[in-house]
Amino acid sequence: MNKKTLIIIAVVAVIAFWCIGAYNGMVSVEEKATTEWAKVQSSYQRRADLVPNLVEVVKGYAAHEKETLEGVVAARAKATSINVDASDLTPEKMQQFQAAQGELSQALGRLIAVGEAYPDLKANENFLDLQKQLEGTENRINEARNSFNKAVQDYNIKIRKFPNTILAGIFGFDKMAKFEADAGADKAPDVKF
Amino acid sequence: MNLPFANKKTSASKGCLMTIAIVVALVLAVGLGRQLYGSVSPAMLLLIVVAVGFVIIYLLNQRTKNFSAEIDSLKEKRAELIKIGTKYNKDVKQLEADFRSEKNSSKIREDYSNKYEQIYNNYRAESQAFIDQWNATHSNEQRLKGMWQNGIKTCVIALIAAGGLTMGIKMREAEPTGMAALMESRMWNADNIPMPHMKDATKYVSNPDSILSPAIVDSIDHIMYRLDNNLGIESAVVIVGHIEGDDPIPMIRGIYEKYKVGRNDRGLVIVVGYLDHSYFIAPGRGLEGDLTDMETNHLAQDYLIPSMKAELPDSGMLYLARGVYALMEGKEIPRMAALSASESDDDSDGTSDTLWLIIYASLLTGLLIYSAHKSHKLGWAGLSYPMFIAANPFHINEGSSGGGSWGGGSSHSSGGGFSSGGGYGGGSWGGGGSGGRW
Repeated sequence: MNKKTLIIIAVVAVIAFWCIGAYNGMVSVEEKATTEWAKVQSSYQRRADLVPNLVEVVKGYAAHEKETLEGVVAARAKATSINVDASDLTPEKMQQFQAAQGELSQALGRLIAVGEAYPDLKANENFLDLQKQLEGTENRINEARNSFNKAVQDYNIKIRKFPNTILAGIFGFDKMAKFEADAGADKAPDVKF
Repeated sequence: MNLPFANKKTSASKGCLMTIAIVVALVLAVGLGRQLYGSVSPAMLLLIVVAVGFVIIYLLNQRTKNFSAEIDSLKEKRAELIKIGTKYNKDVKQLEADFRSEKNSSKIREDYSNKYEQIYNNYRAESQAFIDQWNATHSNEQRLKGMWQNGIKTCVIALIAAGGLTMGIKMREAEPTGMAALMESRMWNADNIPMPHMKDATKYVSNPDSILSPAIVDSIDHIMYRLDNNLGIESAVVIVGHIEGDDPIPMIRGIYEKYKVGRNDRGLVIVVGYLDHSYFIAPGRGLEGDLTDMETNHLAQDYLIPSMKAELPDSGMLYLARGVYALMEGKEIPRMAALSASESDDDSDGTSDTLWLIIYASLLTGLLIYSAHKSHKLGWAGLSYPMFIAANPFHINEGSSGGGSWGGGSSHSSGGGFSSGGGYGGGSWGGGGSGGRW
């Protein structure tokens, strides 16, 4: 084996080792991001699971708030119908998912506001418990979204850095979309007395 | 013939020095008591000082039995001194009789007053000369007297020191509830909050603003230690005056991220902003199934909030900790005692400040009475001048002197240290739990 062959083998070996290391690194951060996505989905699912109970309790005290109750049920149905696979986190899919969950958030907000107008409902222990669970779930969603965004940021940085970006292109590591702030979240709400 | 006045001055300066020494010792003891707050029990201190006092007095009485000859001899000394006093009293009476026979004028009165001073000085000088001569030849009596004096002085100093320490402890105990100090307390976040568990594996409570009393911190630490060791739930309990941003959630998140509270994700972080009136009870991801949001909410509603509304942070946090433990253990949740806003009057050992003061004052008075009784019984009471010489009947009143008052204060600092290391087990938070305001 001459000197030239040895050099070629050494260079190939170095490139191969780098490829393996970089690929494994990208797989790790991708896995972290998909795990965090699973947590996001499970948090949203948890919220969706609370809705029927909440609707039932409110119905017992304010059955004539039909529009609000139906709005919540419809928003829930829409939100649960949109499932985004971890391997397909494109900005468009993410926007759809976020819009559907946003609608459910608004509908739930209206439902809770109904409770304020009915003292008996407001004092109902089941309603209070569900309200607390909903608060906890919203916290979980918030935490899950923050963790997911951080994981996605790490992943995107990893795959976009040179020379990782070459390997990412070859092995199909695409940029993932993050959660954006909800529309209107940057504006202070109007408070009317 | 200046000796008696010189003696007077010496004893006055001695008394003054003694008073200053007692005051300084008292102030130092109070300061030390504030430092020892939490590590020394006032009841234990009282027990120790009473035991030491009894031992000293017992030993003194035992030793006194060997001095029966000296006690008898002291009676002779007293009789001799009375004789000298009687002789000079006769001289004073004679002087009075002579004055009555004279024409009463201010000049004559002054002359007689001078004569009286002469008699008085002679009396003091003769008495002192006799005492000095006697003492030189009866050294054992001095030993006995010195022994008793030193013993009683030791008891008095010990009592004053223990009383001062107790007052210091009580003063420090009353401080945490000082709202003014708390109002100015810093804003706490996950980065600046001290985590005692990182230094000492048995400590779980972070109480940097001293909102909780040390006894309650110890109790909660003990409960959380059992929660950790028996049920595998690692915890961090944080109570501060103000939380940065008036929101406990970022602090909870930061604590979980920074300290990884909870082995196998079974962690529990409780954050209370006492002056912000906010709280959050956050179980780690692995604990969410066992400690649900509803349960954390019920614990807060049942224990924390009523106590906090009644401004009883000690009760609220203690019952919350007990409630968490009982719930996790699957036992009946403890019932909370009726709340009243008089917590600050309750001491850990159930004794109020005034009672402590009365106890020490009574002991000191009792000791001084016993000392007086003993010195009378043993024969040296009033031995210097056992016979009072009649007051100057020719004295011209020239005026009077006023009094004064003294005030003082003290300052303190507190701190602590840990001997054994600790740390958390790598847990995380998924956003679970419940929080709110009162």
